[in-house]
Amino acid sequence: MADRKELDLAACVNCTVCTLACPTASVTYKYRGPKLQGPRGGYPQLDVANIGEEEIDYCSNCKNCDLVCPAGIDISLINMAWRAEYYSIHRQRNRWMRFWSHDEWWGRLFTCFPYTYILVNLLLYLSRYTCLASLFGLNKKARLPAYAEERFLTSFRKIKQHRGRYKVVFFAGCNVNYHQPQLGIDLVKVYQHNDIEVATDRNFCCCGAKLLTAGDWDKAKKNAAHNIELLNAWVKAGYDIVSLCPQCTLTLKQEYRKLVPEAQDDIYLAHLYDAMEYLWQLVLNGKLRHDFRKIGTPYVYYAPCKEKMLGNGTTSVNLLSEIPGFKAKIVADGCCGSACGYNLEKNRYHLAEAIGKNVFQAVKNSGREKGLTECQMCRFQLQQHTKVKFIHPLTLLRHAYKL
Amino acid sequence: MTETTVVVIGGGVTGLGILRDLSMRGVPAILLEAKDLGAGTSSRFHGLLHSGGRYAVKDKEAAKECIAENSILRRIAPYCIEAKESMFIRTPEDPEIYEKEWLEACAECGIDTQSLTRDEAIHLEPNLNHDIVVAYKCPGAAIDGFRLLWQTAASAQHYGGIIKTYTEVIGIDVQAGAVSGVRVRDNIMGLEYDIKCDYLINATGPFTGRVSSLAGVEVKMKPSKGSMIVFNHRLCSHILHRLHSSADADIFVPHGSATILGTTSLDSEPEDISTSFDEVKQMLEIGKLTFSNIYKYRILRVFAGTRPLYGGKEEAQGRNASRGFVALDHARDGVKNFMSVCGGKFTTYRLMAEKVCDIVCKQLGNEIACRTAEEPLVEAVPKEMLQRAKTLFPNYKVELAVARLGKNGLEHVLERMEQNPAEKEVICECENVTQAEIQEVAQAETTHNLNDVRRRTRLGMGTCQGTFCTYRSMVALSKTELPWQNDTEAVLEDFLANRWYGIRPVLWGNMLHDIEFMRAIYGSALNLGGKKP
Amino acid sequence: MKKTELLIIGAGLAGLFAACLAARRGRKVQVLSYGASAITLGSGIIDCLGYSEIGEVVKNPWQELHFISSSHPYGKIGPEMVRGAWKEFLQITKEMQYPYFGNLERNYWLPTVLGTFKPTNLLPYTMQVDAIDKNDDILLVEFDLLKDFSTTLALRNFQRNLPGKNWHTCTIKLPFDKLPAYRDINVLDIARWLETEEGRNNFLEQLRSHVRKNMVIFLPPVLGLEPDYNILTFLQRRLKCPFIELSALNPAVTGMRLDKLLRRYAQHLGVEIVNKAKVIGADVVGGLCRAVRTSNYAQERTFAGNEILLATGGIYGKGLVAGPASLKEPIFGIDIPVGADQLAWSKEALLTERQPFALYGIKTDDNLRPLRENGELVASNLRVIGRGLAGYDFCFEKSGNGVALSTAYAALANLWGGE
Repeated sequence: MADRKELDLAACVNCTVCTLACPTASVTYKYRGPKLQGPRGGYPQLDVANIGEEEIDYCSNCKNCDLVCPAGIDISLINMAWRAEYYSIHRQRNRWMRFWSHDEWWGRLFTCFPYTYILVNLLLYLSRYTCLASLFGLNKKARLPAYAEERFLTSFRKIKQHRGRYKVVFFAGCNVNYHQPQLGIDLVKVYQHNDIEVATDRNFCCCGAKLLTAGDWDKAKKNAAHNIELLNAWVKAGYDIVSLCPQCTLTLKQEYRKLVPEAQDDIYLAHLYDAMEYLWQLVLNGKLRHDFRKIGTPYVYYAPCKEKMLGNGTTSVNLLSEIPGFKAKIVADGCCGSACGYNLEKNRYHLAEAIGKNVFQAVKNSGREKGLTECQMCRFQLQQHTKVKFIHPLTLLRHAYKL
Repeated sequence: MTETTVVVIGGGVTGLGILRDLSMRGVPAILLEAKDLGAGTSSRFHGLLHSGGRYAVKDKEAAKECIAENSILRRIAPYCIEAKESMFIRTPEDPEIYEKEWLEACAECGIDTQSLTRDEAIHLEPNLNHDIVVAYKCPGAAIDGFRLLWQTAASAQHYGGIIKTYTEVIGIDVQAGAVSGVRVRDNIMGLEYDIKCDYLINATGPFTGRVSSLAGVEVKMKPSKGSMIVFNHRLCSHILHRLHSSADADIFVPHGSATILGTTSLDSEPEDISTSFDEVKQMLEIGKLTFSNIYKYRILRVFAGTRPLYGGKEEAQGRNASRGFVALDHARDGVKNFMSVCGGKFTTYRLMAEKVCDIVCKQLGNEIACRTAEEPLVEAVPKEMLQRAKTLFPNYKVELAVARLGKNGLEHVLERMEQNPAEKEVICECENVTQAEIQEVAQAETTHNLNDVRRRTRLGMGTCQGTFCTYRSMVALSKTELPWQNDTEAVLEDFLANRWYGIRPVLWGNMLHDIEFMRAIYGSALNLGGKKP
Repeated sequence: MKKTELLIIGAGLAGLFAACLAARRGRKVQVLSYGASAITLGSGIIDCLGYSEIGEVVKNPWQELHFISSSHPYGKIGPEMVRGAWKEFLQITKEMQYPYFGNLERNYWLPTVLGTFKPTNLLPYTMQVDAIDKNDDILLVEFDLLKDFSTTLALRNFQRNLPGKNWHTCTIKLPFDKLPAYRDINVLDIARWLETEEGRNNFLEQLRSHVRKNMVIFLPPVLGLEPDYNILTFLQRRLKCPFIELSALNPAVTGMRLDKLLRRYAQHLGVEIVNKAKVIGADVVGGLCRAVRTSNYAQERTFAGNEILLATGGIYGKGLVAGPASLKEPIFGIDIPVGADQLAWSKEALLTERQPFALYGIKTDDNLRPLRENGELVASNLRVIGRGLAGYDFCFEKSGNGVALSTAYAALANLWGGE
C-alpha cells in the first residue's frame, strides 16, 4: 500500500482541480478537500491520531475527484486509506455507516424468514416520521429502498433459461440481491432474449464498496480477495462478468486493484462489463435484437458519478437510442448528493440536499416525467427531490422488448 | 568601528561550529558570510551522518572518529538527526573480496554489522533490484543540513556570537606580519567598512585559497564537485550503500518523502555548482543496479556541492584523499593570528571546531574548556508546548515544524498564531509551512530575500518546487514591512530562477510537466518579467 | 463497429472548440476526455499573440500574423484561419449569452493579481480593460480570508507599472465560519457566495462606501461560477462602475466558466463526451486510423471515427511524454527529435526566453496531419490541433488559447471546407 501511495503522490502537480470538483467541498467550508487529504495532505504528513473525526469523515467516496484528476490519481482511495488508518485506532461511531456497510448481512437476515421484510419495511417507513431513524443513524428525510420479499437468488433459480451463444455470470450486488431482485430478473429476461445465458454465483459476497467507505479496509480487502478468486475462475470457464450497479462495477475495477494490488493485472478485469455496456458491445457487432416496441414517453437520463468513471460515455442512452421513439434529455453534470447513501446519515443529510440542488433543478427543468439512471441510490434521491419517477435503463429495455 | 576578538569567515558548518565553540568559551566573535548561511557545501551533500561503515576499510581513523561524533551529535542535535539503519548491499558487480575486508574492518572499528540474505533484504526494501547477492545492516543516521546549521547558529547567538550574512570579506589587514582586521562589504546595503580583530579564522571551504590570498598567503585547494539527484519518492527506508570501495553514485539516503542519490567527483572551480546531463545519466545507470525501476521514479531536482579538499603537500585528489581536516596556522607563512581550516566532513564538524578553538584559545590565553559536546544546540520543546502546538497547527504532523523551530522558535510561532489566527494558514502545501513560520523567519535579521526564507522553512522545496507557494508567500508577507520585498517581481524571479537551476538537467517526466505549469502561471497568467507595452 | 464522423481525442480548448464547430455544422462528434481540461486552470481569455517570436511587444496581432514564421502553427495555417476561429468563438459565446469582446487588430492589456499586465485578445465583459485609460481612479478590492490576492502586493507593482492613477484599496470581510484547521478559502467560495442574494447584497453594501462614480474596480476573479453576466449586471447597475477581474493563479473561475460554456454548447448539439477515457493506442491500417483504444483501469475499449483529431495537448496535457533525452507522442508512437543533452532542452531564463522544450511538438504537413521523423504521414485521416503542435512557446508569446482555437478551426476547414 505504501508504495502505491508514493507513486500516486509523485504525479500530483497541485492543480487543485479535484477540490474544485468535489461536491462536498463545494457546500461546506469545513471539508479540507480531496487534495489536502489525498496527495497533498497524505503520506507522511496527516496526523491521523489527532485529526478530528468529523474531518476524516467528510469524503463521501463519490469519485468526482478521481473523475477530474488529469494525472489519473485515485485520490478517493488515498482518502479511504486515511480513513481506514483513523478507524484502526478509533471506534467507528457512525451508526448509519455501520448499518449500511453491512447491508449484505442485514439483507440476508431480513429476507431469510418469510414476512420479516414486511416488518422491516414498516420500520423503515415509520422511521420517516419518528425517531426510529436514529436507530439506524439515518436522517428522517432520507429514503431507502425497501427489502424484498424474496432474495434474487431464489427468484433466479425459478427461471428456466435456454443455452445461449454467449455466457455471462451476473454479479448481482446487495441491491439486486436483497432490495430490488426484479432488476435482476429484468436483466435475465433481456439477456436471454439476446441469446445470452446468465449464471450467478451464490458465493459472491458484497463487493465491499460501502465497507471501504466506512473505513473498514481490511474487511473490504477480504471481500475483494474472495470475489476476485471466484471471478477469475468464471472467466477461465469461458464467462464474461456483468453487473448493473455502477458502484459494484467500479469497485471491482478500481478499488480492487488497490485493495489487492497483486490482482491488478488479473484476467477478470478484461471481461468485466457494465450490464448496459455489454449489450452495447452487441450493438457494435450487429448482434443485438431489434424487435422493440415503440417508446412514446420521453425520458430524462441522469449520469451517476460512478457510471461516468467507467469510461464508456452515455452507453445506456446510446443503447436505448436503438429503440424507435426513444428520446432522452441528458443531465451529465453534477452529483445527486446521495453518494450511494453515505450522505443520508442524520447529520450529513443537509449536505445531500445542498449538493444535489443543481441536479434536481436540471431534472425538473427537463420537463420530463420519467427518468433513467443506473444507480439505485441516485434513483431514490432524485425521485424524492424531483417527483420524477426513475427506473434502471434495463427495465425500460425489457419493457421495449415486451418481455 | 567594529571590533571583536575573533572574526570567522565562512557561514558553513565549519565556521558556525567554530563560532559556537568560541562563543561558549566566552570569546567575542563575529562570523561573516558572503551569502546566506549554508549557501555553500554545507547544504549541498547527501545528508548522511557517517557512522563509519563507508571509511572502515580505507581510513580506520576517520571511521572511529565518525562513530564517536555520531553519538555526540545525536545527543546535542536530536531535532536534526533521524536515526536510520544503513544497509550495505553487494550487487553482482561488486567484488566479493571487498566484502571480507569490510567485515573485518568494521569489526576492528567496533561497527555492528548484521548479515541479511537476499530475500531478507528484499523483504525489508521491496524496491531493491532482485539481482543483489547479499546485504548487511549496520547503524546509520540522516541529518538535515540546513537545520543543523541554523540550530548551531541559534546556539552561537545565544552565547553572544554575532552573525552577519551577505557580508563579504574584500580585504584582510596585515600589519607587522599579523592580521589586525578585515575589510568587508555589506552586499545588501552596499556599504564597505572595517572590522578589527585579534584573530582571524578562514573557514570558507573550497574558497579557502581565495580568501587566504587576500592576506598574501597561498593555500592550495583541490575543489572537487559532487552532484546529487533528489527523487520525489521514498525509495527506501534504510540508507543504502553499495558494498565496494567508494565510488560514484553509490549511496541512497531517504529524507522524509524524498531520497537523495549521490554522488560524483569532478575537479572544479569552487563556484561551480552545476550538474551536467552526463553526470545525471551516469548516476542513474549506476543507481539502476540498486533499484532496477529507477527511471520510473520522479526526479525532483539535482544539486551540486564542492568538496573543500586540501591540495597541499599530499597532492591528493578527489575521493582517495583523506577526509581528515587541516588547520593551517599561517604564522609559518609569515602572517600571525591567521588560521585557515579546510577539508573535513560534516559529521565531524564539532570535533574540527573543538580542535581549532583549542589552538586559537590557547593563543588568546583563554583557558575555558570546550563544552560543545555536552549541551544541546537548542532547548528541547516541553510537552505542554507540544500540546499547545497541536491545538494551533493544522492537522499535519506538528513534529516537522517543531524540529525545524526548536523551543524558542516554536514559542514565537505559537504566539503569532494565537494573536492572529490568519497566520495558521498553510502557505506551502507540499512541505506544510504555515504563514506564522514564514512571517517569523522573514523578519529575522539574517533574512534578505525569499530564498533565505526557503532555506529555513523548506518553502518551495517540495513537490511543486514553488509553483504556488512562491506567489502565496509574497502575498502573505505583503502586509509586513520588509525592506527586501519592495521589488516583488525581482524577488519572485530570483526565487523561481533558483528552483529552475536545479531542475534543468532533469527536465523530463513529471518535473517537466510541473515546469510547464509553473511557466503557464508565472509566464502566461502573470506575465512576470514580460516586456511592458 | 459504430463509427462517428469526427472522433476527437482530448477535451481541452482545442478539442472542445473543434467539437462545437463540427456539431454546429451538423456533424456527429464524439470526444474522448481524461481529467479536467486545462481551460479550468486558466483565465478563460483568448490570447492571440502578445509577443513576437523574438519577444517584441505586439501592437497589432493581425498584422504580425502575416509575418510569423511558417514553422509556427499560425504561420502554417495562415491568418484567415485565425480570423475564422475568432468569428465563430464570438458567435458561440454570444449564443450562450456570455459574449466576449475583442479585436484582432490590437492587444488588450489585462491587469493581473501580481500588479503586472498581460496581453490578450478576447475577453469576457467582466474584464473591461478599456475602462482603464478612460478613468484615473482605480479601486483594488481584496477579501480578508483569501490568501491569493493582496492589495498591498498588487498596489506596489501597479504603481510602478501604471503610473498616473489614483489608487484606492478596500478589504471585504467575508462572513464565513471561522476556520481553524479547515480548508482555506479560495475564489470559488467567494463566487458561490456572490451567487446568493445575501452574498451579493452584502458585497454591494461593503463596496459602496469605497466606490465613486466611474471608478474602475479591480478584483480577483470571483464574479460567479456560471457563464453569465448576472452578478456583473447586478453590481454595475447599482454602482455604475466598470469591473475588471484580474488574471490570476488557479483556481480561477473565469476558466471554469468557459469550460462549462463550451461543454454545454457541445452537449446541447448532441456531442458525446466520454469521461475517464484515456487513449493509449491506435490501430492504423493501410494508412488510415481505424480505431483508437482507451484504457479504464486495465479495461480496454475501442472507439472509431471517420476523421480523428488529436487534441491531447502537449507536455501539460500528457499528449507528449518526456524521458531523459526523449520525447514521444504515446498514442501513435511518434518520436520527436529533441536535444541529446537535457540541458539543451531549456534556456537559463525560465520566463524571459523562448524555451526549446516549449517549441518541441509534432511536426505536420500543411493540412495539420502529423508526420513521423522520416517524413511519413502517420495516418491520412488524422490531424493534430492545439498544444501538441511544434513551433511555438505559448508562455513566452502569450498565444496559447489562440493557437488552440485557430488550429481547431483550420483542421475542420481543411476537412470540410470553410464556413
